Amino acid sequence: MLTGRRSPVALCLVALAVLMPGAPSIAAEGLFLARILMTTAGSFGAVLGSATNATTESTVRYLAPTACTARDLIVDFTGTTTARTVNLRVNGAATSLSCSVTAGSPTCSNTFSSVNVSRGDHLSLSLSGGAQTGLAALVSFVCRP
Amino acid sequence: MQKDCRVALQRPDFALFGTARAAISRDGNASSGLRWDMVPRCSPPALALLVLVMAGSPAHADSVGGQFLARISLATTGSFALVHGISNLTRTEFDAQLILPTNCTATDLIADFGGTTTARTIGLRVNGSATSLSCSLTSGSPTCSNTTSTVTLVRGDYASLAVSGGTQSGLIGRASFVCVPEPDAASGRLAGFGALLLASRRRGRTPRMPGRAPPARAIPPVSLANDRREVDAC
Repeated sequence: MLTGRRSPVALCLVALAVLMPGAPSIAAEGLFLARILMTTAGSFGAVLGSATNATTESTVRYLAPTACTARDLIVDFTGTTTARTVNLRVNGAATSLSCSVTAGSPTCSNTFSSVNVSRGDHLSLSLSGGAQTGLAALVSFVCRP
Repeated sequence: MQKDCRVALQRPDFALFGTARAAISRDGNASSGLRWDMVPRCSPPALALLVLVMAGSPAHADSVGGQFLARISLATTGSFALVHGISNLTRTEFDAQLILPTNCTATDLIADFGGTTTARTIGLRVNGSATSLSCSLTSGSPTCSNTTSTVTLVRGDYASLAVSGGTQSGLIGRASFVCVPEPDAASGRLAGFGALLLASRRRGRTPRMPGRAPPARAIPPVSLANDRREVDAC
């Protein structure tokens, strides 16, 4: 009967893995940070930069430069007087990456949904709840290759 | 019969090696009584190769993380601007803040305020406070960079830029920095496990996930005829 002990090669490599825990798997990630002023009755917003909400989705669409997985949505609607939902849209269609706020709880987060984005997809946000003067939505998410 | 052997595992395709003690059973059957009792030793070439491979992984300090690129119009009064995208100077920091979607380390600030008539300092602010990631320029030397400071950012932080020096009509300032994703301990272990898998495939052994206690198990019988090629001296 053959018996064995801990693999010697494994010991060497485990030591390396422990000593070098920073060997990460993320090559590069797209960070989408948007600030959307809710000054109009529009329900669409750009996924990055600062802009007002829009009534026409095509005016706020951005082109995805690479395939990635969108996730980790975080939203701050501080000052909202009404409940609102923010949703990532891909090619004009709603996705599962969304979250909702209320006047009493104006921030929300979604770390459990992920959406596959292909190179060339059109990205936009939908924001419900309508216009509110002086209100800005802070919306961010990451898109990892 | 029991016999101690020195076994060299210097395979040409992989430089990890060690020493082994072999016990051969009385009936001479190599598949019985052989104990695998190796003392680990990583050869310098293999170690160097693995270090290089792991050090070259993309999320180390010299890699590309999230990129923040700001273009700031200084035609308006104020001292705050967005960290990303096009914005005007604003007096109220709240209007210049963006929320961060992930943990990362901000570094490598670079700024170009070509045409400025006054000295300025550009700095990253987090949750309304200044950070060490800043740099200063003058009218005679209107660019600056900071590659030495790092700032740890956490998901949910509010980031903005501070720009001193005030209004200057027609001036556009540009400031950029990167934010390297936080190393993931689990990913690190997976990377180690991947290397282990590679080595084990070459050795024909099944790897174990690092961090978990290896269960005691029997090694499948090994043909002596095959092993002899690796026995240097007995």
